[in-house]
Amino acid sequence: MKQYLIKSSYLAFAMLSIPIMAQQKTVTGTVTDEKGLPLIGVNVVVSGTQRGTSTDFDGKFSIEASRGETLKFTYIGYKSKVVKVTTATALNISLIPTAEQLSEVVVVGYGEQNKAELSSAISQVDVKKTLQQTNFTNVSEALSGSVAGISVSAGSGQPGSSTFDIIRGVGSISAYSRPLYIINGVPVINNDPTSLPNSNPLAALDPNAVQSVTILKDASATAIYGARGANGVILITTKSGAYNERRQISFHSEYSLGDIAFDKFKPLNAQQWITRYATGLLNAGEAANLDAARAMAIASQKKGGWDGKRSTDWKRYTTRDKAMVLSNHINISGGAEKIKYNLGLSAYSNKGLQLGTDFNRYALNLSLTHRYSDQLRFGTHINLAHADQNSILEDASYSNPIMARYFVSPTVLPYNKDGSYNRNLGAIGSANPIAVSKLNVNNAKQLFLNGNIFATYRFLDMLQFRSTLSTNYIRYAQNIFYNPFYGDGANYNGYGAAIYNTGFTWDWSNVLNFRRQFGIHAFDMDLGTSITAQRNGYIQSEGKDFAFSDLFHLINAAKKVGASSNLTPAHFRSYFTRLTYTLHDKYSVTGTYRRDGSSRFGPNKKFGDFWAISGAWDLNRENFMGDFFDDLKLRASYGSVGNAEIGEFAYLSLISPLAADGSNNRYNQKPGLAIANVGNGDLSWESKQELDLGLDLAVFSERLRFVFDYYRARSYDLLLYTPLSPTTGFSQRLQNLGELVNRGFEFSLSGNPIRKRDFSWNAKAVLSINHNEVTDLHNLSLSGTTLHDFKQPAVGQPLGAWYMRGWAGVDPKTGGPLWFTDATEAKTTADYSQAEPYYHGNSIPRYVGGLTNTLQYKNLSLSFLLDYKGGYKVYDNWARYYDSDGRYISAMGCRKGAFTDRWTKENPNAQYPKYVYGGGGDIVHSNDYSSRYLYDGGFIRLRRVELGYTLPKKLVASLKLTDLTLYVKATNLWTHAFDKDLYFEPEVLNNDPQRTGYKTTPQWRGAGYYNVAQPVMRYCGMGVHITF
Amino acid sequence: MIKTILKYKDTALGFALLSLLVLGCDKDFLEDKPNGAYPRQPITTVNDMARALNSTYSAMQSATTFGRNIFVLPDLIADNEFVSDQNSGRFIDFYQHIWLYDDDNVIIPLWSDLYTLIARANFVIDKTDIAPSDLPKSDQNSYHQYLGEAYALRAMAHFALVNFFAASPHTGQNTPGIPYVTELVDPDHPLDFDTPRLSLQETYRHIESDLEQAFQLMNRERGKVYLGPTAVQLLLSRLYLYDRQYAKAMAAADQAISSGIQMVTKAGYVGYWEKESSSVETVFEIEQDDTDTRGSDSYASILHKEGGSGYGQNLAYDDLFQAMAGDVRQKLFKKIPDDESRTDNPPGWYVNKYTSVGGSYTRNLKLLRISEAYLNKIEAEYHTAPTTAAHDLTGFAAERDGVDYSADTGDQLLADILKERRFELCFEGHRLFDLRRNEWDIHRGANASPRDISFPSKRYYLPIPKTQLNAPNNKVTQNPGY
Repeated sequence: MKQYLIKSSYLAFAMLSIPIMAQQKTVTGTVTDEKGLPLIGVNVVVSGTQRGTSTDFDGKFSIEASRGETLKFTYIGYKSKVVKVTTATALNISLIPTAEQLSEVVVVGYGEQNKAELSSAISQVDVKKTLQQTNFTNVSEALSGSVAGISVSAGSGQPGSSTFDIIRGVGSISAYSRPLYIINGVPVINNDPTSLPNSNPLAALDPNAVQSVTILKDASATAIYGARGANGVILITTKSGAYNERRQISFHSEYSLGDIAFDKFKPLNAQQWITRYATGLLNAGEAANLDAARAMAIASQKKGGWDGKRSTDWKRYTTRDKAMVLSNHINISGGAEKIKYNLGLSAYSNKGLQLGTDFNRYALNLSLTHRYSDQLRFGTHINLAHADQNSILEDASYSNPIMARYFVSPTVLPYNKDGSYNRNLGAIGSANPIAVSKLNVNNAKQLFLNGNIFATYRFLDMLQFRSTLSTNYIRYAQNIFYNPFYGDGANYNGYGAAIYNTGFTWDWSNVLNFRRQFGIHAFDMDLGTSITAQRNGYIQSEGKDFAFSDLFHLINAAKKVGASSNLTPAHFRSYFTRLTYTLHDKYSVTGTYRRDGSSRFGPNKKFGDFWAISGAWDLNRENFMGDFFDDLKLRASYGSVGNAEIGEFAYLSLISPLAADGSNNRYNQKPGLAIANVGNGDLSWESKQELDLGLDLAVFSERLRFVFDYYRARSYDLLLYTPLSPTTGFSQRLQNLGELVNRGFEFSLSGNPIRKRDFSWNAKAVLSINHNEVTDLHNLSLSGTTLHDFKQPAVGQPLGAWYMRGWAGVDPKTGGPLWFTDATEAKTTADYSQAEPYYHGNSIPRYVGGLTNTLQYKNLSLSFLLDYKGGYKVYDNWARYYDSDGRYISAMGCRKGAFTDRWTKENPNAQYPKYVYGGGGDIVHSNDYSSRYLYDGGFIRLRRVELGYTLPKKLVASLKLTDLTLYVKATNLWTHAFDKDLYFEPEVLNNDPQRTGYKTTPQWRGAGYYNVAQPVMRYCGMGVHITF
Repeated sequence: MIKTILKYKDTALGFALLSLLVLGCDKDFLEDKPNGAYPRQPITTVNDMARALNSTYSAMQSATTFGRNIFVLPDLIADNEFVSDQNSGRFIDFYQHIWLYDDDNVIIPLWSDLYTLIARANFVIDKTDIAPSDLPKSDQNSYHQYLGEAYALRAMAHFALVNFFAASPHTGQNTPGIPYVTELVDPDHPLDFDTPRLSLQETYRHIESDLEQAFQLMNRERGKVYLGPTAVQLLLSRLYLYDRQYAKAMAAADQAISSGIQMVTKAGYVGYWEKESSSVETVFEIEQDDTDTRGSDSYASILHKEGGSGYGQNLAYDDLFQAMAGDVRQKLFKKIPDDESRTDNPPGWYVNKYTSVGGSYTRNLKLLRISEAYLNKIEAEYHTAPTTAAHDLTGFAAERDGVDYSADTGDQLLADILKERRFELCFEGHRLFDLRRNEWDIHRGANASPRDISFPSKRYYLPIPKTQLNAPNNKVTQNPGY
């Protein structure tokens, strides 16, 4: 009976529902902005249902809805609006931009802050515009040129390579100076643990998964990270969907082809090369006349197998026709009342131009949040990726296949007559670049897991507790193999190494947030604790004598050598608080404090206190202000933060089985122990005190927004390797001694001067000027030590300033070289040893800027980004060989540009000295290190340009899609270098991981240092976005 | 409802408190220790002495010191060796005599890495905290032996330093020598480390004293890859020869010879150089196995190519090769294969003294040979009993099938002795010092630049490196001429 009743009530309900359905009608309307202009693509959803649409180009929409249901209008950058469906069939909806609202929040360390109350220097990247429209390998690339105060240098064309990121100048002499990257709450180990020249832990994070990127710049913003905040902080949060949002599937695919972006290096062809050789012989008096010299030169090359005609273009043999990028990404997001989710999957494949280089990444990101009750929410973010990178040796090794183009004579043939690889390549010996590219292996497989679980509990409206447990795990499985026949491996009948690097970090942070308005007083307070643990480890083994010449795993190695493993722990324990008080919505003050302890710090200085105070005055809210301004705010902050990236156990004097250079102290197969270093119990964090003054200004209905910041940061207690007397047996010791100052200006001007119905124009220009100056080295003479090569820090000079002898050109009388005697450049000398080295300016860009424009006309959109870097010089470390004045002549290649304007009696005012075989006599030092190989690095580059076409809504709707956009794009399409003589990539970094690379500490040593690495690439391609 | 809230409130508060608890309790949370090393402390076991000694020998393997450059420089600066025009850029400065005091490839590490070796020896000598009387007998012997070897290593490194960096061997008591370091730096006061430059005589006396000490302490030969009493006497004979104490030089040479290590015969000469730990001839060689090998940085790689790898850039002058006609030692000189397009004119020669054993440039480096003891003795005899010298020279040369020497006195005899020494010890790091001690000019082969250097000249020694001169509290003065 009861069952029957239930059944019949179902039936009744079903019957009743029929008329309800029948009552549904078509609601149409127009959505406009506050000025009455139509808004395109506004999401319109019937709350609690799957029914949804979006507005067309006229801002019009049409949706099935019933009376009593509510429609929700959401649009990025605008406040959402909810409207109840009434009898009216046409709705006119006006949305208000959020920029004018108090409720806009900004992601900050351990929380969020109202933008209006913000008094620190923070930049947010428009993720929607920069990240999702263009395919990047890693997040950092997207920051280049679009944010003031950060400098991003690409540095390498190796697929998946890392970038050199600096926020507000380099603030450390010896320690790590990259920003702190925090992904979903956990600090990422960004000091790459591998020995590969170009791997990058951040490259495993799929940029498509990123929801927001916030850059914390001044002390007020970074003080919440205390001892780890001094280099600036980049907060990355991955996507998480939204409650009550219609399920949305988007698909994005892109394909591009690439070549070298900037390359003016031209090697001599064989005939020119012979002429050069003959000229050298003639000038050295080795031949009676040019014809005889030419005959000698030709004979010498024929001895090596040259046929007298062929000219080898080494680049052609070691590169693919084009580099290639193929990227596919699918994302599903949405949410119901109690749950929101986002699921993304991506596949990214990049084949480099250089043979044997590629990068493939498969990434998954998942976010789930459950609103259990009004009080409790919990959820998780998981980012999982596998990246597989093949690279080449890029350092000063003959097995660097790029070197062939620069170092090998065009008269040398790549193959022997029988088709085998030529093993006799002059300067680079048997390291045939084709063989090396094809047979050697430099592979790293990266497994990347970043994720967190979190829970928030709201006690009262004003009090919320949030606990986040996050982890980051990076594992590199690395294989290196040098083949047994060509290059480095020939010494060992094949050499291989297998290395496992793991980096595991976990962080547990707990934050209690109190937020309350009492009349005109508003309080926002965070109180928290955080513990972080890191464990970096490796297991490695090497092998020699390979059974199969092409199978690189060590199972094939007859001799297993060099097995090793280690695990290095580090811990942090921290307490922090941040209090913001706002009066009348006009005056806002924020105080931040953090206490940090770390296992890295010496026993005498285990804990440090860091703090900041900042204030903001919202002038626009004052009664005396008219309504000219939409925003006018003054900001000021001052605070003290630290840099804890000083390495593990640097404070201890250690007895170690390893020598200072990492080699083993073993002897006759027995272990050896030696004192490895001279420790320092006082060793601790580096400190930074920073002042920031800022102005935010918006006028003409937000058509123009201007942000200005001035900062002055004094970094002190900087780690210095202070030289010891070499007679101690130790060359150096670490001390907290140095001091430097970064000061500068940041300008950001953005606007949308045109926002017509069919035509809109958005533009943003950013410019940062950073002045870096070393102010105290504690009277230590770092010059003359081997610590810093050509970049010896000196008081009064910017860090990384080039230091070398000054090239003064050619003596018109003798044809020999001249150098300036000293920095005054008043006198010249022909004696290299009489020339004092001096400073030649920055190696790190002083001016960094960008100009972004987005033009939209009907369904077409065009956007482009011009990137600018200037105020620095770049140095070619190898030019002394291929620009040689006669040394190394018979075995090496030569740059065409360096043989054009040579001194002769008839051409006394030449750019280059006389050309003499053997390079002896008065040109014996002419090719030694000097400013001869220094070039202005300034450039303007069309970093990105993209032309997109969005298919008309009607057409798209007929395909049952909500959006379909096709585009063509190019990266680094055009580059203009200010120095007309510059022939190599101006955005250059030394990748040598062993010595002075930017990856090793300190990174500034590798800046501007050309070491025959893979150059930055230009890519042209097309793509499609589909949403349904 | 309220109850529910309160329940969750408790949970959350409990959670917060728990987290604070975790932070508060674990006192060792920040007390990490390295897994690959120990904080500095004295040596308290004989076993650890052996390990510290191993690291001292290990420092000899470095290419910047005994692993290569100490072999290369004296022959290259003098008249045995030149850099081919097909080179890797290495050592050109030394071939062309244009080295600079800030050269961080050769001069700076030669100085500092030898002092690193000395610091490692001093870790054994200065920081061993063992009362030998408490040890069992066998450990007592080891204790003394290890200590003796540490003294010998310290002396050897200082001897190399004084040879390269002391200005001139003969001009009286006040000629500067080098700092002689006998203690380990205090990590708490590293800037108080005080090392003035001693006079040449004082330096020699310190070396002599350390070698004597070593000889007293040592009680056995531990094999060819460790220093023993024979090596110490051989080094003493060289020291006395350099210091012109000829009687002592002869006595020490005799002591070394009496150890029973036989000179290699002419029949075995070429084969000897291919062997490691030979029972004949070798007094001491630096061990280098697969793991320690310098690869292309090895000495052998500088001297010749093997299977297409290596630099093969430092060659023997043709005139040296020609002069050795008919001598068994000439057989170690190899013609450069035709496929290597060198244009050196006249051509140079590969020297096969230090070929690989089993590829990969892996080999033990022969550093001290008993033949030198004979030659040291002959040269010392020249200054005291020339006739004996002439007789012994003829005897020595007969073992090598070489020149028939006729002079029995005078400059010609000295010339003969040095010629024989050159033939025997070329490419072993002696030549510059042999010429200098006899105040001879340098006359280099036909393709050399520069060709002739007159004694005295700053070309006979190196400058004190810039790192030393710029070091805090530096007390070392620059050499004349630099």
